[in-house]
Amino acid sequence: MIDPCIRRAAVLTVAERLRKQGWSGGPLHAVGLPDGTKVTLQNLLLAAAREAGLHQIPTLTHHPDEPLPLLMARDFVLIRPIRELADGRCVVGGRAGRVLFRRGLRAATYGEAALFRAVGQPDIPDGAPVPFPWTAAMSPRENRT
Amino acid sequence: MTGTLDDAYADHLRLWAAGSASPRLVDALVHGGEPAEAELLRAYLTTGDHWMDRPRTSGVWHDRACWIGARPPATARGGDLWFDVVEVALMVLIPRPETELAAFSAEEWQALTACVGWLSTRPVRRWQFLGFASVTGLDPGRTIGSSAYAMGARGAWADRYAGYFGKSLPGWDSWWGASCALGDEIINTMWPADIPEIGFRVAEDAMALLGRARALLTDQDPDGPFPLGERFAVTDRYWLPGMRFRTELSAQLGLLPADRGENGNMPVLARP
Repeated sequence: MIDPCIRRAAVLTVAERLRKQGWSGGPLHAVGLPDGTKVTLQNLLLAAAREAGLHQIPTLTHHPDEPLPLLMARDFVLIRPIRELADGRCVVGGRAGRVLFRRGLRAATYGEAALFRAVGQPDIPDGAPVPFPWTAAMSPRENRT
Repeated sequence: MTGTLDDAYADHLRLWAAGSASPRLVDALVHGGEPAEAELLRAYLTTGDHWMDRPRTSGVWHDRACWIGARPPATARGGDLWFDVVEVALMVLIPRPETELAAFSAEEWQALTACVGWLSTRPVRRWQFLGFASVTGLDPGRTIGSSAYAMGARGAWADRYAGYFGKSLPGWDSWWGASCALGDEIINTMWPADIPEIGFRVAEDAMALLGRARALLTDQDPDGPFPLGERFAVTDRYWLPGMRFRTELSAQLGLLPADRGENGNMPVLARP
């Protein structure tokens, strides 16, 4: 785990840059879910923008099935498997159920990128439910064209 | 002499971006104590992309099939070598462990590959990192030290180095495959001392810290998680001085396209 103080310092460092230079670079990438919520792929950048007092930032919202550029895919590697239980619920790690996404998988879509990043958080206990309703938003890999 | 090799390597990268190779680097490699790389690069300058008819790879890699080229071969088997003439690095193709392949479902055979990818046989040398820094305008200051390897690079720098060559930083899957497929003698040559290495990105702001003992576990459950180790902040402000790093090329991704500088507005050149 990263010391929260270091993470906080990282947010403050980026926030300081945003205060001095304003927003620069590309937009914040987010994934739009069917219920209207958005999941950002760049939590630190969003936290820094809030810290810097930016009320509006350019955001690009992607469909969950939109292919992820290869350069981004290398940063979204699944480190814990996602399993589907007999009742259809999906959980992070654990031992029960069948493996739906195997560890080591590189994200192929923006939806998978958000999913893989979310389940990689170390504070989610083994066997806990997947933290956002991804199944309604994404097509299974074998059904994609 | 090291300075000469740094400069020759930087020229090599600049010339490569302009569409030509650098014969000067061969001499610099010889004089800089890298005869194996010099011979392989010389073979490329003479013949271009090719499989070596009579493998001249030495030491623990003796007699293995070796492809010399700017990109990996179209077909290869686990354990084959690829000498990347752009990075000037010998890579070995790591197959997935048999226990993992046996656990694949039919759908996973569509999504995953039988090999993890190409893993560099040694960490990045100091001259490679300094040459890269020169070409990309990165100022590492005095943090890299005087070791033969690039030690003390910050996580963001290591990530940028790998991205420049269209590659990434390795994860536990590469080392699990390596420890299952390669003998102890080879593993001990690839990673001789318990010096931690910088691994792939595990979060937006965190890189994996790969410790030798944990990374080389062979008795893993293929359906379980990776043997999660430490992670450290990726920002330019924090670094660990005693770490090395190496590159890999995932079989799932292939060579990556150029970084267009979407993160922090810091564009990085990439191999053509």
